[in-house]
Amino acid sequence: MISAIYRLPMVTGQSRVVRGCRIEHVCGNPELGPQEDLQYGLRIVRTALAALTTEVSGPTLFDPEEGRPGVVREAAHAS
Amino acid sequence: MGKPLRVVHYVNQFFGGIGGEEEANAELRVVEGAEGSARALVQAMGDDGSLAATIICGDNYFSDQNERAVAALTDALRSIQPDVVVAGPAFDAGRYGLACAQVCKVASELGIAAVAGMDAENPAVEMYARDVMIVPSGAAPAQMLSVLEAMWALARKLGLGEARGPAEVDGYIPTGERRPWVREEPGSKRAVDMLLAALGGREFQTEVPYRAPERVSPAPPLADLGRATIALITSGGLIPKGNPDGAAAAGGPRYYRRSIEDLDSLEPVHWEAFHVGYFTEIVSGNPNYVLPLAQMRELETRGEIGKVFDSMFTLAGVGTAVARAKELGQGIADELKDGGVDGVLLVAT
Amino acid sequence: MDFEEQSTVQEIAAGAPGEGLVVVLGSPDAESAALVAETLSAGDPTFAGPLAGVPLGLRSYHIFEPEIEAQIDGDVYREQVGFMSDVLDRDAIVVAVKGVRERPQ
Repeated sequence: MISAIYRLPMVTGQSRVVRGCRIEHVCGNPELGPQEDLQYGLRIVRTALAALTTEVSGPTLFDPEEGRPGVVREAAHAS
Repeated sequence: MGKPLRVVHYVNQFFGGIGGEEEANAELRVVEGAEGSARALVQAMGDDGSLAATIICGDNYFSDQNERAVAALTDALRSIQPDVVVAGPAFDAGRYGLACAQVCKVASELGIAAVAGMDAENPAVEMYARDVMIVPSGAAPAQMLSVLEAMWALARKLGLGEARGPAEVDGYIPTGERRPWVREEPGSKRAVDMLLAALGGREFQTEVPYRAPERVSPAPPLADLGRATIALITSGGLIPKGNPDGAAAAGGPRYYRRSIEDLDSLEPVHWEAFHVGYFTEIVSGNPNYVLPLAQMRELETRGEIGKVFDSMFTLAGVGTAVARAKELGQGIADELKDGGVDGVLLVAT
Repeated sequence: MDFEEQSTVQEIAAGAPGEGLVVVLGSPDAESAALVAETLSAGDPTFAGPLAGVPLGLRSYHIFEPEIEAQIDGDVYREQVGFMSDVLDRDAIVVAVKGVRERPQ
């Protein structure tokens, strides 16, 4: 599943969860401009496809932007 | 007669009177006195409560800027020092329900009694029912006043420092906690009465409700992505422009299978989003944001996947009862199996 | 109905006191139809909008109701509304709107 509010599917038992951008534009970001938007969308989809090829034992988060330089990831939910 | 309890009411951008989905990014703000639906809470409380402040926050802001929102909320509660916090009711709105529940959790951690309200099927219930007092509200906003009256009955009790009673008596969703309690009749008699009712086909109230946690084993990973057929599904309510099939904007109640065989991308001239649970304008301008066909075709061309399945599946998921969602999922799964699909990307909003 | 719509109706009602203003709705389901009818009659029951606690006392009808249909040219009605009564739950909507309208004040 690709979702911007990733904690919710994880808590309800979804095994492979990919972090999307925002609820109103899950697989991309219109503010990036068309080229960057497509590249970002491709990163998200590639991450999702990689998740399909990954063995998991329970709810697991796959973040397309993890480890990318210059990207600050604010938690979508503080626990 | 004691003095009225000091109360804070947490509401979202709509019930705070700011606006609808387009205002979902509204920053958390504290308004003295009653705004929006807090006016109904004032009515419900009568002389027993006095509304110190209404805290209004956009559902998206609370979710996306969660740390900032929680910090602002904590500051506000520390400064106002209410006796009790009332959050919602969120009815069947998922993001709002999550926010209300978290608001109550934050309040509890500060030593303030708190009660949230939302529909029993709200996704936030599964996550928070153990930690937060949640009064079931049903899904009809027209019931606002009577729901707040029910929430206030419990909130007042907790605000006065009284111990809560069993869920069925005090009207909240069971937390899973079990406490010893004395009933009027001995267990042997109650058990026999239940058995007689069951044998006679009559309804009875179980004392040990069993809710099996649904855990689905993860599917084994795909071995060969380059040869795999991948299907795309969305619960974001994508419809052909003009809604020729009269699809609903919430609650399913059915899914639609649509051909994407000849399409390289989803164009706004042919598709739009019809869904009451999120601000749909951006997706209607670029439907690939909830069904990434353009992105997938690019990867298909490069050989990173075998092929995109010829059909996509769509519905407006918001407010769909869990049992119904299971049926719909089973139906889609059957079609995917028949179609020889290996993997699925499901985009949720 | 959104807050702007509530304010707009409030202004219209204020500008036409005692003129027997009537509301005709096109809401697609019973629940939303009843909510609008309720809001414009007794006030916004969610207390979220400008009509919270403001009973305009307006009577609402739905475009599906025979009293309204009777006032519209048959061909025009069939063309503009006809197909919708096949797609939507016409009876439930009419019952809901009538229910709000005929409730003892």
